[in-house]
Amino acid sequence: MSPAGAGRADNGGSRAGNRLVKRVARAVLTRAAGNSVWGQAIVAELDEVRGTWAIVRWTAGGLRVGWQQSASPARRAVLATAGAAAVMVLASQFVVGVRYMASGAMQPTVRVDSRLVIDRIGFKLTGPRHGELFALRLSGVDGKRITTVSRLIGLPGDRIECRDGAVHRNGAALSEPYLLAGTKTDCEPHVVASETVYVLGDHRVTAVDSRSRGDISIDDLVGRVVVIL
Amino acid sequence: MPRLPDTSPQTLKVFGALLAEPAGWRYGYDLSRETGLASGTLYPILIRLAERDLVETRWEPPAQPGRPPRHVYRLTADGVAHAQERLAAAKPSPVKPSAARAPLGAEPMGARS
Repeated sequence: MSPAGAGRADNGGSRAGNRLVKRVARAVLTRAAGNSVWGQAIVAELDEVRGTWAIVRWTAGGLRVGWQQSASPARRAVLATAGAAAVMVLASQFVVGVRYMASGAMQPTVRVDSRLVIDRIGFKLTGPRHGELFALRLSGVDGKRITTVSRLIGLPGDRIECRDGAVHRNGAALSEPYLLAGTKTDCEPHVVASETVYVLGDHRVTAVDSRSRGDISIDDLVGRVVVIL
Repeated sequence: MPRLPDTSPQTLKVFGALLAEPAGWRYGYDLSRETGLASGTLYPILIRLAERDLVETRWEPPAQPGRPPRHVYRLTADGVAHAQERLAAAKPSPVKPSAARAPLGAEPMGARS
């Protein structure tokens, strides 16, 4: 068990997504470059590009250059197919993600070694709701950011407090049937700030969540858990 | 469209970045970040300049084994002169008296008998 049950659901989730994007980008650009020196030059720079979105932009530009430079319709057909396939793969990465749950922070709801399907876009339209599970980013103790999964307990303006081991929201005790029998929760009374949410891992004993890290910025919500595999 | 070649703002940005270090070889990604130009804009400019021998290119062996060699760019001697000229021409010139105009305080037009 990692120290303090740090909820490292899956540092690799977003890194795996980023690696996939880079692999797709390199494959697409290499195919598009063919024998062209300049095409290969653009591919070679890909290793330096940081950030998923920057990789997508670099690749799009590279395909455009290939298109402008290409002489034959056959070449252009190759570029068009490569571009379309890349767009499909990359778009799906932005919409849905698959994450691997490596910690017990959400037990018994999510077992260690489970996989989670995350909706990265849809939840932004409806907004986060009480009780939903979210993959989110926490700042780690050493300044490094970690990704974990937690349950949304408080929205901006909610008053959260713990009495007799039970979580209360706006004066009313929460019914939390998903917790292990006999679970007691301790927390500091708190009003959730605007643009932030209050989250708790279901495995209250070990989870690292808002009790120790405070309110989570809504921007740090990566996606809503849709399916637990 | 600019009337003269190499006067577009994007091309001037590339000239500016390359002139900052005229003797040094520059990486494509660094130029992209420094000029703020996307790859789809930057590379056509570099390609055009290279075709006209204003920019020279070469492959630089990788710093670490296993990485690909990187393509690097720098202005040729012609390129330096050309870039400086284009950049100077693009600056708005300060108002100054020119030899062709009558100096201030001269007789008003039409006053000569």
